[in-house]
Amino acid sequence: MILLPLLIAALPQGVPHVRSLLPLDGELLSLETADADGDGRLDLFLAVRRENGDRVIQVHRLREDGALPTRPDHEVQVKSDIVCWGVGEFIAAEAGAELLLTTRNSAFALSPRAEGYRGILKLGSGDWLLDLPSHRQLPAWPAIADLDGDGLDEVVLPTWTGFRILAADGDVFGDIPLRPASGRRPALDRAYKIGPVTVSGQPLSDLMVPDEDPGALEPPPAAYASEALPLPWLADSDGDGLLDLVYEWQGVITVHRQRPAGVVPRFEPAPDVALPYEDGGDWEVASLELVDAGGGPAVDLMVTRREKEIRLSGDWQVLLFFDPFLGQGSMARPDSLVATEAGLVGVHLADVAPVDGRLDLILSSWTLDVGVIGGSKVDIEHQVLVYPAGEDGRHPRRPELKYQREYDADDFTAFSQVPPAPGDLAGDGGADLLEADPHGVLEFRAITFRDGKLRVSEQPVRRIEVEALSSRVLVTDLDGDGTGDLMVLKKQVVEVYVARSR
Amino acid sequence: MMPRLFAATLALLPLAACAVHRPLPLPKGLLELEGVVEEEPGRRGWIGVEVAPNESDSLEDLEIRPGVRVTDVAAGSPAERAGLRLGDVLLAFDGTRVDDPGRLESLLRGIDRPRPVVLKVERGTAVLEIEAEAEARSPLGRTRTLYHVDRALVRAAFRDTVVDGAFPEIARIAAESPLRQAGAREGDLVLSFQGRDPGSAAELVRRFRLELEPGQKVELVLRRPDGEEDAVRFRAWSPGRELISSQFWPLWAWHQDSVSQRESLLIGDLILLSLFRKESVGGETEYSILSLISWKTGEALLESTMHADRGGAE
Repeated sequence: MILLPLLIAALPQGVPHVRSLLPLDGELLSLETADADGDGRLDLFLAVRRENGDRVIQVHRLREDGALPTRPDHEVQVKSDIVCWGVGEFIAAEAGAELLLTTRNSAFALSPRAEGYRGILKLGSGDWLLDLPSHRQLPAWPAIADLDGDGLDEVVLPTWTGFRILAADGDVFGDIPLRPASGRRPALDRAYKIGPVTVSGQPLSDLMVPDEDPGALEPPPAAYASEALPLPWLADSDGDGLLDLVYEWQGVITVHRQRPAGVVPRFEPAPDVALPYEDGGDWEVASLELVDAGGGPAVDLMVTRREKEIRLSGDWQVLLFFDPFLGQGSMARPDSLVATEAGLVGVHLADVAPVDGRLDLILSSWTLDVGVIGGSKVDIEHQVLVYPAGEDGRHPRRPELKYQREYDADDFTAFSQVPPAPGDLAGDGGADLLEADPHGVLEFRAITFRDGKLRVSEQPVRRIEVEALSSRVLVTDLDGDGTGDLMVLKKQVVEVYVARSR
Repeated sequence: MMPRLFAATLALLPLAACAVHRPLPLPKGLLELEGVVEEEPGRRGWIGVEVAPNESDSLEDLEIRPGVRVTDVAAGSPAERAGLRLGDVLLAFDGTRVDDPGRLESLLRGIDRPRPVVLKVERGTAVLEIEAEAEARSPLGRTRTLYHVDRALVRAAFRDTVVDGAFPEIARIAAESPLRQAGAREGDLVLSFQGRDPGSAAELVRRFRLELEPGQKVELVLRRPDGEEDAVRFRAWSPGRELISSQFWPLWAWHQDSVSQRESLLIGDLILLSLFRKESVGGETEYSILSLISWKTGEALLESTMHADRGGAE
């Protein structure tokens, strides 16, 4: 009895959160986070479609006390010919990030603090593939990064003939020829996605909503829905400190390496690495992710694949390749391989206790348990499996922690939207477990390392009363304190919980 | 024959000689636009509208139109009672043109007690005159903008005034400002910039940034404190130009690139052979005479070696 308070004190305690509620006066279309004012904290950029049909981009700046203002600090009215937007550093004289705005043929940078569009900077022109503005959509374009390390960002934009890499001063770093594929409708997969970068075979944004304007004067072109390019990713493929262009297209991962300063063009049209990945007959690739898992400074590749036969439950494999793009590239032998059986698997890399700087592999698997054939009872089983990384960064084939929870429900789609291992939430440095209870309340559970074993706290260290099952939950460290902050996106409101760990 | 050939060669020589200058980049930080704020006592006018610049709805063909567009009308406000609607374009406030939101702000700041104001409003194809009863309110925040600064090209600060057409006033002038050298003084009102209405102080500074290039001619019409109007002309501040290339072929050719720290000098450039050649990159320089004798100089690294005394004290 005397020991009980001591035991409770020894358990990781949840950190307090500052809650901000951002009513949107419309519908949330897309969201980005970036430092809007140069204070080192990430601010929220929200693309919203107002009830009157106007599209606006609102900027809510994170204050020092962790709060966000209810009304936006800046608001930019989106003009009718703007197709998509992004956030990056494009104007050296302006502190903080600027907006990237693209029209049918041009790309512009605009300070969110500008009054109107008069200070707008034209970055360049091209025949963009994203060329049809929608009154109802405003997708965010993610392929923006400082490629050459000059403090200003470059953007990779899709054209009708491939990719164009455009610098803030209008320089074209390269044109990469790639023929768009026909037959699939564009759909932006990245709209709310966070976490490790993904080389995604998913095509681009759903920019044109058919029949959205019955009275439209011009019908959409017949071929509008049939052109797609892969989502480009920018990562250091060879460890030289320069970001390279990587994309997956039709079963091949292609890398165009960046040349050093002074070499023109910075990106050659011919690929430096073309790495076919094979499913191996019975397997199909569920996801490819570029990750920084270990090994050298070059980016690593994580492949999640499943059995081709679709059943309620099947075999899944996660393969991790260290530095696969060095030299001519090789995916001959994975550095880590783990397997499980489930209906759906999510894979995460995070540093679980004991915090050693190495990224451990965390599998989140969902299975529908229909019980006895013919029976009416259906349960959902959620398993979290943790594979701690060894000194060489590789992971064992058997998990060292298995956490299991059952839900009395018949669909795991909503539950699986909550990222189960988004990093440190409790402020103790180690990754924690995040999940929704059957009512959609978010629960944090601490993963601890005691007596040589990994454990999950039986009681949640913190519960946040939100309707997570009808929302989208994102975790990002907004205030830069090392502890994850939560963004709960609903159709007409954004709730933000900023952890105050110091 | 020979003297003619010699003369023709002499005449062609200047064609081979040239020098290239390039403008120096503006120092970073100078371009920052910043408003200085302090506590504001007193009251100011309020009609309950939010406005934005009146721009066309196309970014490809951006067009700035007269007036400011009404983006919000507060419920129960004087503007709503007077019939102002969302989307209206406010052209003038009490007879003064309003082409930027800052101008409306400064006009409202000049109202310290409730009084009727006349709004000239464009709605569709009609231009209306609307009378509204402006209220006087204490500002919600306790700050006000003191002035707007252009640190780069004009090197002066401007503030809004509430009297006499709400023209911007010169609040501060830096010692090395070209505006001061042209005869402008603090307290002068700016009546026009490049022959056009200057707008509010914020708009004037924004236009300096958007419309002026370093070294460009500027014309301001000023009204002095004694009421006299005066046009001042000057050139926007410029950081100057640097020589990056000079040649008088075949005697010499010199090129410099300060970004990559490269410099080359050729004396007696005979295409296949040069009498003297000097190429430097950073701290390393290569010399060559007649392409036969060459040597390099570079940054020497002096290494000192510490010897561990393993023998102990002697």
